[in-house]
This record gives sequence, structure tokens and C-alpha cells, in this order.
Amino acid sequence: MSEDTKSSGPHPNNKESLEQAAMQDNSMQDVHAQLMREKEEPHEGFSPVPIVLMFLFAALCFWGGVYLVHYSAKFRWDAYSPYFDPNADKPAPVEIPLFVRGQKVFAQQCAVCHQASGAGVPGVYPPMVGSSWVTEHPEVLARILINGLNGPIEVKGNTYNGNMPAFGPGGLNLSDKDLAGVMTYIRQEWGNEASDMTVAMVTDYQAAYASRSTPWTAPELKEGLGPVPEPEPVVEEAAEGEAAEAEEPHAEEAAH
Amino acid sequence: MSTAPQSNSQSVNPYSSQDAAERAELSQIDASIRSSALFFTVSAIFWLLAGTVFALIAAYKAHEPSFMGDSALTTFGRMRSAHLNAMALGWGNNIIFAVGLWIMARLCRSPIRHGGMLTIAGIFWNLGLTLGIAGIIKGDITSVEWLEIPHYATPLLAISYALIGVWGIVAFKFRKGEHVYVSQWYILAALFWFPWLYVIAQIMIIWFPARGVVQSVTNWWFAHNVLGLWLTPMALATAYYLIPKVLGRPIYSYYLSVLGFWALAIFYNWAGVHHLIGGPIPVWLISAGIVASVMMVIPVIVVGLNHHMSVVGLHKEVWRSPTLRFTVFGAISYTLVSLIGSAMAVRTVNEVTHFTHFTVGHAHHGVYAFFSMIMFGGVYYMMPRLLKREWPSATLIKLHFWGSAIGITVMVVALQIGGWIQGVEMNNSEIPFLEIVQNTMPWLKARTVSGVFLTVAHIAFAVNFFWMLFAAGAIRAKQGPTLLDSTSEEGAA
Amino acid sequence: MKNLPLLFCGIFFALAFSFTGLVLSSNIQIGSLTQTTETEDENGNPMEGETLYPLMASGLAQQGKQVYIEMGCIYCHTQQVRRDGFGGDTGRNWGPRQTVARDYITQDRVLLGTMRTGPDLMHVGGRPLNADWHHLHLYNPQITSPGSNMAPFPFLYETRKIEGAPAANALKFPPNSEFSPEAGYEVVPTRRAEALVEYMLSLKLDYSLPEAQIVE
Repeated sequence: MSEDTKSSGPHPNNKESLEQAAMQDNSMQDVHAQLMREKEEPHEGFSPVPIVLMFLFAALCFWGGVYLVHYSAKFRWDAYSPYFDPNADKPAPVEIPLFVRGQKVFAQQCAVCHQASGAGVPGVYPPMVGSSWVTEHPEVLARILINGLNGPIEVKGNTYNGNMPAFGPGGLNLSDKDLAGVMTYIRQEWGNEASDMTVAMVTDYQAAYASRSTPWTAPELKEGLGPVPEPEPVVEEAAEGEAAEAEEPHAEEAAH
Repeated sequence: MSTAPQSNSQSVNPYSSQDAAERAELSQIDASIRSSALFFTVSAIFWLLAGTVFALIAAYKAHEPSFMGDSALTTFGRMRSAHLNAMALGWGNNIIFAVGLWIMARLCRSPIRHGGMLTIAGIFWNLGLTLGIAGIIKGDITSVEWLEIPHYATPLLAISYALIGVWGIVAFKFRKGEHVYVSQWYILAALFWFPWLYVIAQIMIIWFPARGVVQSVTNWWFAHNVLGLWLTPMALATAYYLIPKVLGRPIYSYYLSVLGFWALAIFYNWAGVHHLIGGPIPVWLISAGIVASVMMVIPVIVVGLNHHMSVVGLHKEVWRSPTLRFTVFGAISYTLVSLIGSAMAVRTVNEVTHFTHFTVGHAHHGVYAFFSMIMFGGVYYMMPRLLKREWPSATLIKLHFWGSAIGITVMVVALQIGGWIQGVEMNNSEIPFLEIVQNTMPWLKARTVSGVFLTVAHIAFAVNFFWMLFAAGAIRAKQGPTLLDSTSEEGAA
Repeated sequence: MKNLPLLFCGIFFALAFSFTGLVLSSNIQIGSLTQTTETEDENGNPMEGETLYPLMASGLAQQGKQVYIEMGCIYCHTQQVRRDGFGGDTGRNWGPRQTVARDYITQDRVLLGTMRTGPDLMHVGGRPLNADWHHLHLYNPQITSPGSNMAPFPFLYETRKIEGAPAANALKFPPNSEFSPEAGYEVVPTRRAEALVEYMLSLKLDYSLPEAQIVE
């Protein structure tokens, strides 16, 4: 290795050779050619930072702050646009119209037997279409849904003998909203033209019949009915807020 | 590589006894790290070549999709990922382990103790990486950008990294002297940041995935910081070491160094979210990322100014020295690529450049024109000192430089023009998508051509390197360093 | 800088700051979102009895997603839709609305992607493209999209001799296609291709979320 140093010293003039030799004596180390011609290890000067730069950086920091304040939408998790406005953008909690809600419930719960067309299955499941049980007194329909129905029943001239399950608290326990929805749906779909079944009405009927433990029979259904609630005033009185909200999406859609 | 002999006279007498003792110390340090640094450099060059092959296949497939289309092993996605990981973790990390640790040891004036252990850890790093890239090609790719390596290889990588990184920390702990130089801050910080980033990203994305797009935030926090808090500090540390070392002139301003370091440390690691602009994450995260990206202007200007003022007036020396020619190319690229990057983070610009080849060009601008060029410079400086030999061929160095410089310039320009057109057209929904694809074709072909330039450069580099490594006798006799001016084209003699 | 404890603290807190600010805070803020109904009630709770979105992917679709991951599709296709007015995403019918964080909560691996060499796929199942089209497109994109630079994936298909009647799931090449197999042979998808196409068809952004309504 020492041969290296000797053979490839960068400036093999006399003085330097001597000094190299001296250095090797001192340190007992081998330092090769590349190291000998290397400059000293780096260090730093202390020139000041240009003042213009400091102003520039201060301006940048200011800009950064302003940008963050303007385009961070108050650090909300649900803001995905820098122009997010919490008041304008937030979708109003939409109350789905009873009819639409009922459509979904019917598809999930009822269509298996009564069919999506509402026509039922001849001899087994009675039809909804044009059935007076469905379209006439709302209390009759509510009774059937809340407690179920057992035994023979005559629908549109045919007799059915089935076993309709209860959807009230004693049975499948649908919410009042879902019950109101599905009843409104079957009363108004397929050409049926009966009044709405409001949530308030269902709540009243639930209070009256939820505790009943047996299903109804056809003759029982017609006994002791209360007055048919006046549809118009009831809708306005009981479901005013909901109705107003339900109207909103329609208005929005129209606007588009 | 050093500058011309005549500039020696400007510095202090290099043979005074104190200086001689220092040089003896440096010699001892070089000897202590020699075998491991050589191992890492050889590995790095191997991965550089492998990554180049993957890159060529991917680039060619981008405009000739049926090329090697009959095999699942060579789909574009896998070739691209193999390329990225070979370059970032193979070339990048290995060369960092070589050059970064060497600079750290020198500046700390602390020999590497038990260098054999370091080499063994390095062997495991490269084994893990080989396993990982084989896994990618085989189809165990994770499809998480910058984290494609399958789960069975990552623990090996993490553990071997820890064993390697700790050497830098240990060197720092046993340092001598009062002063801590700017390169040491960067290397120390990067050695500490990288494992944190890597382990968190692995945990939150692969091992125990966070819910939904939290993964994406973590992914880009990690991926951009691999560039910002790992490759960038290492390259800056190398430039900060090489420029004054070769020129024999101090770095312009300590204050600028401090400002640049801390501005980078504070701003860079928030910037990654700009990869998700317009994406499904809360807008404040994106805005924070944009602000941080723009604030990166501060460290970039500061570092650029500091480097420029240290070099100014010595352009001839820079041009003659292989080390500085590469390093200064890299340092200029740093300023350029970072300013473009800050601009790309602005929403109105990003609306166009996001999801296009513009970003691909930008990534290569950063990792190649900046990081890799400085690291090439580092290798050109380090190897003669480790091997006590000179580079055999100035012609090959020139070929390397011009191949790299022309190649990367063509690539960045082509991809950024093509990407900009692509972005503008994509935002105009009147233009059919297939037409846009067709319009990018010439630019993608230009990228393949640029890849050929880079390939030639890398082969020249590798040939020169292994020539130097193995053909010892012929080169040792040579006098003086291999320089690049017209008078010193003695080549391999 | 000679004050080393300060240097260490600075190095530590610089990254800790962004780790907290970006990773931890987003995990706290959006890391525990749950499925919900398209609209919520007055109290911000899901509507009872209605479908919860986003839906869970079917088993076959999840297998298809694995194929998507293995083939590296993410490197050319994104799965995210930018908001109306920012980029051309909605104009190209890549989705009826912007995607939001909740759209991804049922996915074990989120494949947002950052590159659109090919179109966005967030809503590809909602486009008028059936399984036959997808199979032909995967087998060789030139059949359905001449001039595309998408790679073909013939290795996901099997070319075999027709024995008896042609298989029901054999690819239906357009007449006189240069890519159709020679007479007496048919191209049938492997199980992986079937899964991948099922995944494609399952990618649908056809539901609203409380924070991202589909308008119109």
C-alpha cells in the first residue's frame, strides 16, 4: 500500500516527497495519492441571508396562512371542495315521501306473496288491486297489518283461506313510518285511489291494537270501526312538517 | 475527483503536520468502510442496470402494448413497479448506504467499526430486495404505489435497513470535533426519518389496513417523503460535501444552510397530499398539502442560492471535474424540479397535470436529474479514494454524462409536453378518450428513445466502474486524476 | 448547530408533526366512517330499513379485485372521480358525482390510482358495457378499442378446440375479426378472467351518500 503512495504521488518534486516521508513517520499511516491532493474537509462561510429573501419568505408564509383559512372548509370531514359552504351545501335531511318508502317496504316484505303487481296469486294470496279491504276504511287495513289475519276472507268475489302475518310489535315489528308507507302505497298504486295513511293515524291505531295478541278474522274486522279520519285536515295537521320536507326534493328536482 | 493541480496552491499548505494527521485519519476511515462501501456500490450499479432493463420494457410497452404481451410476468404494471423498486430501493438505497455512510463517517471523523457486519446487513438488504422484486414480477405485487414489494419480503428489508442505518447514527455518536457540518444534519435526519416512514406505511396499509382512504393519505405521506425526507436530504448532503471539497472553498453561508435544512424538515413532509388533489379526502388535508408544497420554494431557493454562491466563478473547474459536473447538474435540477413541483401543486395547474404523464416526467426529473446525478458525482469522487486508483477512461465518463444529461432532458421535456397536452384534452370531455391516447403516442416514443440514451450512459458507467475495480495494474501507474477537459483525455492509458 | 438535543428534537418533531397532522388526524376524522343510507334522517342517523351504502363487494368481485391488483391495473387506471367543475371527470361520465371518503370504507385495499393512461374505472360497471365486451377488451383491447395502448391479457383466456357444442361463455368475436381463433377453436375465459370482469361490473357509483348527493 505504501508503494501506492510512492508511485503515484501527484507532484513528485523533492520538497513534497520529503514532507510526505515526514508525515508518514509522524502518523505511521498510509495516505494515498488521492487523499494527498484532496482539499480540506468542507466548512461553511458566514455570509448573511439576503434581506429580500426574508421578505419573500414572510410573504409566502402569510399567503400560506390565508390560503389555509380560505380553502380548508373549517377542517370538516365532509367537505370535499375548497369552496364548501356548510350552509348551502349541506343536503337538508330528506324525508322520503310515504309512497316511495312504502314501495320499498312492499318490495321487501309483501311482494313475495301478493306479487309486485299487487294481483296476488289466485286461490292462495288475495289481490291488492281494487280490493275493498285495502281501499276502504283505513282502520281495517291497519288492523290487518298490525295483528295479522286468519281464516277465510272474501276478496273481489273469491274466498281465500290464508294466514297473514302480523307486522306490528307482536310480529315483524315494522316502524310506524314503514307501516304508514306501505299502506299508503297499496292504497294508491295499481289504480287504487284511496287516501293517504299518515304516520299519525298508524300511531293511533298502534296504540289501540298493539296489545292485541291474536290475529283478526274477516268478520271481526268490520266491527267497531272508528270514524274515517278526514284525509285533508289530518294530513295537514299531523304531518305538516314532514309534508313540507317531503315536497322539497321535488322542488329541487324540478329546478334541475 | 479533484480539480486541477494548480488550484491546490490556493488552499492552506496541504502537507502541514496537523493537516497530515487529518489526512491519515481520513485514510483510516476510508479503509474502515472500504469493503462495505464497495459492496453497496456494486449492488447499486447492478440494480441500476436491472432497473434500466425493466424501464425499457415498460417504456416500450407503453406504445407497443403487444410487446411481450403473452406473459403475465411482463405486464406493464409489474415491469413499471419492478423498475421503480429496483431504482428507489436498489440503486437509491444502496448508493446512499455507500456514499452517505462514507460521508458521514468522514465528517464525524469516526471510522466504521465492525464493517463486516455492515456488509452482512447489506447482503440481507439486497436479498430481501431480490425476493421482493421477484415477488412483484411473479404477481404478488401489492398495487400500493412505492410499496409494491410483497409482505413476505418487507420485514427482511426493514430489519436489514435498521442494521445499516444504525451505523450512521453510531458514527455520529462517536464523532470528533465541535462542529457539526450541514451534511451531517441531513444524513442523520434522513437515517432517522426513513425507517419511521417505512414502518408506519407498512403497518397502516399492508399489515393492519386503515379504513378507506386513510390508506391513501398514508400512502402519499410515505411515498412523497421517500423522495423528500430520504433521497433529497441524502443528495443534498452529498452535494454539500462535494462542492466545497472539490473546489476547496467554503459553503457560502451557514445561515442559509440552517434555514434550508429546517424549512425542508418542516414543509416537505406535509407536501405528499398534493398527489390526492381533487381526490376523496377532506379538502383541508389537500389544502395543507398545497400550502406545504408551495412553501417548499423557501428551502429550494435557499439551498440553490447557497450552492450557487459556493460555485460561482469556478465554472471551469466544475466542468473539468467529473464529480462536480454531475453534482452541479443535479443541484441545478433540484432547483428546477422543485419549483416546477411547487407549481404543480397549485390547484389550477394540478387540474391539468394530475393523472397524466406530466407527473411521470416530474418524478424522473427529481429522482434522476437531481438525486441520481448527484450520487453519480459521489461515486466518481469516492471510488478513487477507496480503491486508490483513478478512473480508467475520461471518454466513458463523458459518455456517461452526456447520455444521462441528454436522456433525462429528452424524457422530462417529452413527458411534460405530452402530459400537458394529455391533461388539457382530458379535461375537455368533447375529445374522445382514444384520440387522447393516440396523441400521447409520439411523446411516449420519445421517452423510449430517451431510455436508450440513459441505457448507454449506464453501461458506460458500469464498464468504467468494473474496469477500475478489476484492472488494477494498468491504472495505478497513471498520474493525477481523470479530468474531463480536452488536455486530459489520456483515457485508460 | 451545536445544540444537539435541539437538533434531535427538531428532527423528531418535524416528522411527528406531519405524521400527526396528516396520518393520525385523518385516521381520527375519517378512519371510522360507517356505511349509511343515501339520505340520513334529521339526527344524522341512517334511515331504518333502507340499503346501506357503499355495498360490500361480492365474493367473485373480490377475487376479481385481486386479479386487478396482481396485474397492476392501478398503474394506468384510477378509481376516483373529481368534483364537477374540476377536471373533466363528470363530463366524461366517469361517475355521476364526486367520490368521497365513505365510498372506499368497505375496501381492504384502496386503489385510488394516480395515472390515467386509461379511463377512470370508479363507475365502469355503470356504463353500457356488458361482460362480453369486457372479455373481448381484456383478451385484446384492439378488438373493442382500436389504437388503444392497453396491454392485452390473453393469458387470462384459454384457446381450445370446440368439442361438441361451443361453450356458452366462449368469447363472441365480431364477424371477420382478425383476432378470432381459427375455425374449430374457441376462446374461453379462465376463472380469473370471469372474476376480473365481475369486478369491473361491480364498480358502480350509482348511489348517493348524505355528503355526496347525485343531483338530477
